[in-house]
Amino acid sequence: MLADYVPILILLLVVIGFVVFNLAVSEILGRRRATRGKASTYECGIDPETNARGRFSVKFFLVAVLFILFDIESVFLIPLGVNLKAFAAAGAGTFLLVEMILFMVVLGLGLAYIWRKGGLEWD
Amino acid sequence: MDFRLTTTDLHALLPLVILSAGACLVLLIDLFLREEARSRVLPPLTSLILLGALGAGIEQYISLSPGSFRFPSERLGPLLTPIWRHQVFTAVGAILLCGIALAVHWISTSWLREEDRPAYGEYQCLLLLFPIGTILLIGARNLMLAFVGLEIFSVALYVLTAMRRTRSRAVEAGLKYFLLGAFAAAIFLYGSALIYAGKGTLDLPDLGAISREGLPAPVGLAALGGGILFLALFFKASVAPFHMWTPDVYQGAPTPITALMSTGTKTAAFFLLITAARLFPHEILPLIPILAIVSILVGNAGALRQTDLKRLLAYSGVAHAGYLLVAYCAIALGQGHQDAHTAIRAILYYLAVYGITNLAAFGVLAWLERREESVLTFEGIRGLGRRNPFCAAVLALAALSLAGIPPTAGFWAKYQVFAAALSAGQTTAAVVGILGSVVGLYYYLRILVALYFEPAPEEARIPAAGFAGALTLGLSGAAILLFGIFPSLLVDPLIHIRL
Repeated sequence: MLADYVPILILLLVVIGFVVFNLAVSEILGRRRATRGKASTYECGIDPETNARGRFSVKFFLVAVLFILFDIESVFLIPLGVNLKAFAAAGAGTFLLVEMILFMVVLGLGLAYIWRKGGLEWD
Repeated sequence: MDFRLTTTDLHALLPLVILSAGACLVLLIDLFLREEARSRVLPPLTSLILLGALGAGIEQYISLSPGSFRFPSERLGPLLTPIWRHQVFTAVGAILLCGIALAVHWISTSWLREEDRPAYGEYQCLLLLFPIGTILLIGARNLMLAFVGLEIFSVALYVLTAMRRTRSRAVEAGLKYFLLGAFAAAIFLYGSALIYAGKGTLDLPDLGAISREGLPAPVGLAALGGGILFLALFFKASVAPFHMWTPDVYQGAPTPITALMSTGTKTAAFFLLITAARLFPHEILPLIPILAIVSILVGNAGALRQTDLKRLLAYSGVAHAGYLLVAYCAIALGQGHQDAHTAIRAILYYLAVYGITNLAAFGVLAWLERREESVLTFEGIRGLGRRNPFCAAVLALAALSLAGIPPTAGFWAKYQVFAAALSAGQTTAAVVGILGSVVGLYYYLRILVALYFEPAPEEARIPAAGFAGALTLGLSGAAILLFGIFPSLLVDPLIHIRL
């Protein structure tokens, strides 16, 4: 039972080790030049303390939303790609392939929409 | 697991397939066609898609009714069986919602022309997404699919509400609707999660929806989840005290979209209320008649003071949700199948009639609306009887039907609702409902007074309605009268409704 969790433990150690290593390396090797911008709180490129009624550019959020959309696409696509052969052996290959193509067509339509409407232009 | 789609599956999904493919096509055309070509192609194409889906719904209704030999086996395949209910109930919902979307599309053609940016493609595409979401909500056998449907049509409505984004009122309405609607969706999801925690399934028949008598009442977590789920549905149906958003959102949204919201959302919400009736916690069942009474009182009292017609119809919508809940009491609290099925038929009849009537009323308002917003008040419709007799006659018929005056369909709708409640022993709610209708008479008759008994102001321009808009108004006006004189035309098709 507990032996099943060993890979997770190893992963945990690797993750923690990665973080500690990187922080330590940058602590030792990095140069420190404090500027005003570096000292302030970082929040997606927006000045953290301003009038709440101020206007802000919506571009960052647009990019973030679009990123999530296509990120989720890969979340669905990769498991299917890995398992498609097994599904095909079980007789569901065509069905799932068609499903996934439909899914990608709809997403592609979304991409075309963003593109034509100028959602990808930064300026 | 078997992954094949059978022909019955495709038959069951046909309206959805038509609508989805159509929505994609409309979006593509919007992207790659030039402005004038677009405005020539898109409206007829949208009509065609909606007519196709409507036809598919009617075909389903016919083939699912007893005595039909078209499809020897109407059992769904292994993929759809756990998630979809291929029944007359679903087909009736699909017909209603495709009809509503079609009427809204037709009354918005003239309205769109008056706009500064007739944002064609998106408007039509979202209008096609609305029936997809609502049909999913109605046909879903599984609460998760119902949630997906709820989200699809809600998101479409948020965008449509805020379509006129340069106007502060539209932005206010869109933001209010979005924030509150997002909360309602989250609450719906939370309720489903609790139900799953308590019962281990999200399958509506397994959860003891109405067709399974004698199952134990939900207890503990599932009961809490059921209560929370109903909160979200009451919000969507704008039942008091969850109605606060209604007047502001109805006022700020484009008028055809207000028509869509008031008819389509209410229809979908009540369909799911009917299917999920047994999920309501038994300990607080007496709340339903109370909610009905509160809605009737709040709706009618609120409407008495309004001068803006869209706000007035919003409050009247709250009152009508109350009347529908009166019949719903008979499902939730009544004894046995007979009461429940009478009440279900009464609710479906009411929803159909309310849909037609509200579409007629909002259709007239959409016709009158111009860029200035002051026109949709009692002031704006003064003397319309002389300026435009056709418009005035349709609006007058709609007002009479909403009030429930005999030669109109609204009378039979109210009659059936109250009769169903009385036969199930819900006397208090029914009596309050009848008294509420009397109060409602006051503000509906004010519309008639403004239309016919007040002098018309000078230089009042009425935009051209266009053929489709006039056709919709004529049809809905005729339907109000026809179903009022021959109610059996609409009662008989509902006889085969089973859950």
